[in-house]
This record gives sequence, C-alpha cells and structure tokens, in this order.
Amino acid sequence: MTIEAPTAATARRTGGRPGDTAWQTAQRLRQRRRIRRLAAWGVPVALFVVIAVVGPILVPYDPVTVRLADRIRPPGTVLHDGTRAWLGTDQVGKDLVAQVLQGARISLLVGVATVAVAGLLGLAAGVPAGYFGGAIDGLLMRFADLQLAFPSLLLAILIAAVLGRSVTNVIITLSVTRWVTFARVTRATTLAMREREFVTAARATGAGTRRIMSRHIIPLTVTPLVVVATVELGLVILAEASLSFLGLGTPPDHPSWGLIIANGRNYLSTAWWISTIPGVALSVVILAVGLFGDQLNDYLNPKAVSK
Amino acid sequence: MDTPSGSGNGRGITRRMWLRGAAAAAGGVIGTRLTGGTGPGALLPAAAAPTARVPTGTLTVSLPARIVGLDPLGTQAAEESLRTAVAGIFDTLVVRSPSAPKYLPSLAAKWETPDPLSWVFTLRPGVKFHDGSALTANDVKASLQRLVALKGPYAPLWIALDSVDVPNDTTVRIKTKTPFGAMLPNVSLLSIAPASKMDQPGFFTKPIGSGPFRVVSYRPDAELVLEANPGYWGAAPGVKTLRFKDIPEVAARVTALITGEIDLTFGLPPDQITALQGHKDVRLLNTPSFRYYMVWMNCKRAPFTDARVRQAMAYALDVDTIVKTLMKGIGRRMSAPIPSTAFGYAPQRPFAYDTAKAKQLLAAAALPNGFECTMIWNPDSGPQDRELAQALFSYWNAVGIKVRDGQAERPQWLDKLLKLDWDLNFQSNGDATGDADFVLRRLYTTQANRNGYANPQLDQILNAAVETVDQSRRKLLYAQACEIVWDQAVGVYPVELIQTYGLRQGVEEFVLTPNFPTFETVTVRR
Repeated sequence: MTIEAPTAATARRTGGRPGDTAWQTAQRLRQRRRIRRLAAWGVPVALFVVIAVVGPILVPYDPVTVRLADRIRPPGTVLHDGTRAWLGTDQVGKDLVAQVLQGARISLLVGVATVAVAGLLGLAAGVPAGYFGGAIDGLLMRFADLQLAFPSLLLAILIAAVLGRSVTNVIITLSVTRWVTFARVTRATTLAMREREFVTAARATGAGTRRIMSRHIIPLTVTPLVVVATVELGLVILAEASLSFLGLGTPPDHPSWGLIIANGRNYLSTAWWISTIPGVALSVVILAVGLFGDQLNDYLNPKAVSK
Repeated sequence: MDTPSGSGNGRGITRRMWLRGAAAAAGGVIGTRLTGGTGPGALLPAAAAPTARVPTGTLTVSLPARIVGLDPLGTQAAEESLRTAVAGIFDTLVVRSPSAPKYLPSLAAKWETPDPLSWVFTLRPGVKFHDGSALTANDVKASLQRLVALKGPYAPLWIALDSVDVPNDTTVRIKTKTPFGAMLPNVSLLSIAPASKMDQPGFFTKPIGSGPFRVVSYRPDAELVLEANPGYWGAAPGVKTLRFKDIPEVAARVTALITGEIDLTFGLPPDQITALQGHKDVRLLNTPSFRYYMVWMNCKRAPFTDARVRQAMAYALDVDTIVKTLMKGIGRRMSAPIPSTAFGYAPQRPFAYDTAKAKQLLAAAALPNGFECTMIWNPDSGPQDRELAQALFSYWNAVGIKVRDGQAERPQWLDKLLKLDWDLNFQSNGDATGDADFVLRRLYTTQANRNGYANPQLDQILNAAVETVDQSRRKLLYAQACEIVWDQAVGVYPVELIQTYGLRQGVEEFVLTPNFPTFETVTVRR
C-alpha cells in the first residue's frame, strides 16, 4: 500500500493541513487536545486569581471591628444589620466571606512572590553551577544540600521570633527553604545545553560567558522552570497555610486561610464552618494549581509524556 | 507576680471529716465556717479521726495550661498549673477555708502573736517527708528563705520579713519589721520542702514534700503521676493514683473528657460548655473564683499619665455585652479592681458604656483624634481571652484609640511586663490568697512599680491595712483602696471568672472552692 499525501479536502476533514502526512495530522490533533485540556484546567486557576484580586475590593475586610451580637452564626443567617452572612460568622462576629477572600489574596500574593524570588535565586545558583561545573558546582550544590537538610519549620520559628510575623517575612522564609528545587532544575537544563552544538558554535564565534549564558542557556531554562514554578506554587500556598496555622506566618490581622483554620480549631463541633470553609478552599486551589501544572508539563514537553 | 496563681490547700482533719459529710448531703458544695482561728491560740482540732479509708482508683485530670515545673518557691511559683499540681505534694503551715476568709491549721497546729512584730507557729508533731525524714522547723525556715532569695513572684509578699528563728524542732518564730496583718494568707502560699535536699540540682524534677501525694514520675509537657502517700499525717486521699495529663488545647480536652481519657477538667469556654451539657457521662459544676481579667495602662507612659485618658478607655467598653455574649456562664461583670470573692472587696460605681463621654474625656486630655498604642498579652491566659482581646481592640478603635496587637509567647510577655516595657497589658490574674493584700499591696504601691502607678495616699492606706490585725479595719481600708484604684482607672477590670468543672460520672466528693482545685478528697467510683 502506498502512502499518499492527502488532498486539501482530506486534510480539512481529518483536521490536518494540506501537505500533512497522517502522522503530522495526528500530531496536530494531539496538540489541539493538549491545548484544550490546558485551557480547561486553567479555568479554575484563573478563577482563583480573579477572585483573589477582585474579591477583597468588592467585599472589604475590617480586621478590627467585632460584632459580638452576631457571633457564631451558621452560613446563610441574616445578621442584626440586615446583611446575610453567606459563609457564616466567626467567634467574634466577623463575616467569613470577607476573611476567605482576603485569605485568597494573601495566598496568591505569597505564592507568586515566593515562586518568583525562589525561582530567581534558583536560576542564579543553578546556571553557574551547571555551566562552570567543578568547584563552583560543588560549592553551590553542597550549599543546596545544607539547605535541604535544615528543617524548614525551625527556620520559620527563628524568623518569626527574630523578625516578627508579617507577610514579607513569610515570603522570605518560604523562598529561603524552596529555592533548591529551582536550582536543581536549572542546573540540569544547563548541563544538558552546554555541550550542544549551538553553544560550541557561539563560543567559536567569540561569545563570552555572559553572552552565552544570557542569550543561549537561560532562555532554554525558562520552560522547565515555568513547569516547576506552577507545581511549586501549590506547595507554597500549602506551606504558607501551615505556617499561619502554627502561628508563624501572617500576623493576626491578615487572615490567611491557615490562620482562619487555626481560629476555628476549638469550634469544630459547634461552628464547623470557620475551619472547614477555608480548608475546602485551600484544597481546591492546591489541587487546581497542581493539576494545571501537570497539564502545562504535558503541553510544553510533549515528547516527555509517557502515555 | 500577677500571673495566674493560687494554692488551694484544703487539708486539715476537721475539715476533711466535715467535708465528706457535707459532700454526701449536698453533693459536693461547701457551706459552713470552721473555727480555724486567725488570732492567737488556734486550738488543735479534736482528733476524731474518720474511718480510715484506703485510697483506691485513679483520677486523671487535665489542667487548662501546661504544668511548667514543680518548684513552688521559685520564679514560676505563681503559675496556675504549677500551684495546682504541687498542692498535693507539699504542705503549708495553714490552709484557707474553701468558703470563708479563715485559716485552718495544717502543718502548724497553733499559732500566736506574742508581740506585734512576731508570729510563733507551733508545728504538729510526727510529720514526715515522703522519704521518711522528719519535718522540722528548720525546713520551714529554709523554705521561706529560699522563696525570698529566688526573688520570685511571691517574694514581694515578704518585704516586711525581718528574721526567722527556730528555737526548737517544732517552733518557728517569724519576726517582721512592721506589724504584719497578712501573715496567714502569706504562709498559706509557703510550701514546705526539705531543707537538706531542696537546693540539690534536679530536686524539683521529682520533689519530696510531706503532702498526701508523692511523685511517681514527671515528664514535662506530658504527664505528672502522683500516688497516695501511705505515711501522710492527715486523712488518706480518696484515690491511689492522681495523674495530670497535659492537654492544653480546649477542644482536645473536651474530647478527652467525653471519651473518658480524662476524668476531670476545667477552664471551659461557654461554647464547649454547651457542647457538654446533656452528655450523660459528664456533669458540670461551677463556682465563683478568684480569677479575673484586667488591662493595665502603663501609668508612667504618655498618654496614660493622664487619668482622663484611662477613664475614657473604661467608658469606651460595653462590658455588659461582652459578658452576655463572650462570657456567658463563665464570667460576671466586675465592680472593683479585685474579685467579689476576695476579702477586702467593696463594690464601686460602674463605668457606663458611653462612647460620647469617652471621646469627651480624650478631647479634654488634648487627644481629640485618639492615639495609637500597643497591648502586650499572651494568648494562653484563660477562656475566651483571644475573643476578649479582639473585642477590646474593637471598642477602643471605635473611639479613636488604635491598639496594636502585641501578643507574645509567655516568657517574652512576662519579661516585657516586668521591665515595664509596654503601653497596655492584658492578662488574667488571680488572688491566690483570697485576700486583697495579695493583689492591691503587691501590685499597686509606688514601691511595687508593676504598672507605673504612684499614689502616696494609696501607699499609706495599703501599708496601714497590712500592718493591722483588726480585720474590720482592714476591710474599711481596702474599700478605700478599691475606690482609688477603680476611680483612677489604673486599669480596666471587665470580667471576673466563674470556674466551670467538667467531671465524669463516678468522680465524687470534689470540693468546689473559689481558689485552685485540690484533689485529695476526690474518690473515683467505677
């Protein structure tokens, strides 16, 4: 049987382009499927971002005023001033909707900032380590091992005790404990890239180290870095919630989800909504971000996908 | 110190006899007074011993806070959990009656004041420590000296101490520099430890006392296990084993009570109390207590140097709503700087909830737009303390006073407090002796300098009150002192606490006292 190039009509019917082979058509279809899946899994994440940015503006949060007459009201109750508490009130009467939205913003802020800072740190450590190798590589990677061996919780306690509790300090703590993953990924990519022909060619034409790194190596590390960043985002949000739950994260007037869960700890049997609702929100967001990262990986590294 | 404190030693043969009868009749609530004597020549009660009972069973108790240590003479002596834990291990010379400000003989069989500057205590013979050695007057002297030397929270009670003489093994003569009317309340807090061993390193990890219980094991932050002391001079305790389990989280404690992991706990917030009501295996008892919440203003720091600012802060609080919503069933509105259960209490004119007046006072003090300050506190002070703190911030914010939340871990908070490095201080406090002297003179004199308040007239009144043994005169003087502290708003005193106990079925003869609970009368019937 001979394999013929399809006609234009055949191509349009099967989804390919004129001149495609059957394999190429299949490839195109697979790619479109990936894009659709990516978009589908991106919707919850985009929703989270929109809610986190816009929500607190629409429902402002007052960290100080208590409403003792409205304390511990179940979700949906109408309060004394006529408004409805859709997610209930906590033990001093503060509305949970405002707190959860504020918590979403804090989660997003801390997550994105930490990933950005840790990513930059990782890039700054991983690329030289991979490119130069030898002593620099040894030094940086041993430093990374040291960082991994140090318990992150102890560091969090230290920073909270010395610098106090604030959103900035949480970002610092989490960046310092999480840059190693990014460093390892960029180092691996750099190692793979530095022996490639285009790098040798660039060196032959007289390009200096800095030019090679910035023009050739770093742009190639972006893709794996983005994938790792997305996965790490979910983990950072979880870590931030854990620190806040323990009282080592955000200060009391910044209601991170972890903090709201901690507040509701003593009321699990009487006012379950205080801990449960931010807990559910946290789970959903982390899952969505993680799964989106997974799909992003499929999309950007199609050859690496093992079906 | 003004940290949670108290020793509720309720021992003494006569009292135990009477207690068991009353408990059987009235279900564990005490009523009548006993002639223990506060003056010279208290009689040794007739030794009509009850039928000797054999301690049986195990009682497991969980205290509201972790047991921080077992040294009742050191720097942690005022911690509530510590006092409750050591109450069974050590004895004191006298104990406060659970129902009245009277003092009953314990290690001291009788006492007298031969002259205004001396108190002579005659010890009861035949008392042995847990290791078999005899308890002598020298141990009393050494215990008192250690308490003063370590400069702990109870050392200021002994400012007037001159010397301690030990003429023989059963006589202790305490000499004071000025006449001292508060001797009995003070010695009720003095736990007696063996002189020869108390300074050994590590002694207080497994201390030896003369009390109805001796220490079997102590794992800090986990568990303290005591067992009945077979050689105890008084009536044997009701249970053979007394375990204190550390479960500081309220929800976990309530669950442990429901499942039977523990038999008794207290310090329950109202929401947990509603969860426990109607539970067939758990019964709830409550009693007014010596504990209360207060917020001090640092009277040496602007703007709190101006009494009008402090009064404005009192007018800004809606105490009735706070008590009705947050403290339902566990608190009452306070009407004096000391709780209504203490000797020396006199009700004062309440500050009405009046935000207009508060703003007016602030304007008169040249602060029409309010001001900013920080409140230090520790979130393990007592039931509903976090909620109360948030409510305070909210009410003060409404009149323009922006208070920053300066909560800290307990050692850091204590450190700042003692250094006077704060604007506002929020905490729970307890009158450990049930006597106004313990709170007012220890904390509010110029010399004490605990909150920066300096008023020579108040100093005079409080010193006069402690230097007389005439109780009715003392009451008058303390009424005056209460009025000064209250009207000058040295602090705001919103709530005094009602202690609620949760007991499992089978736990009987538990004595309700406004002070800290003791467990030697308790029996466990299974």
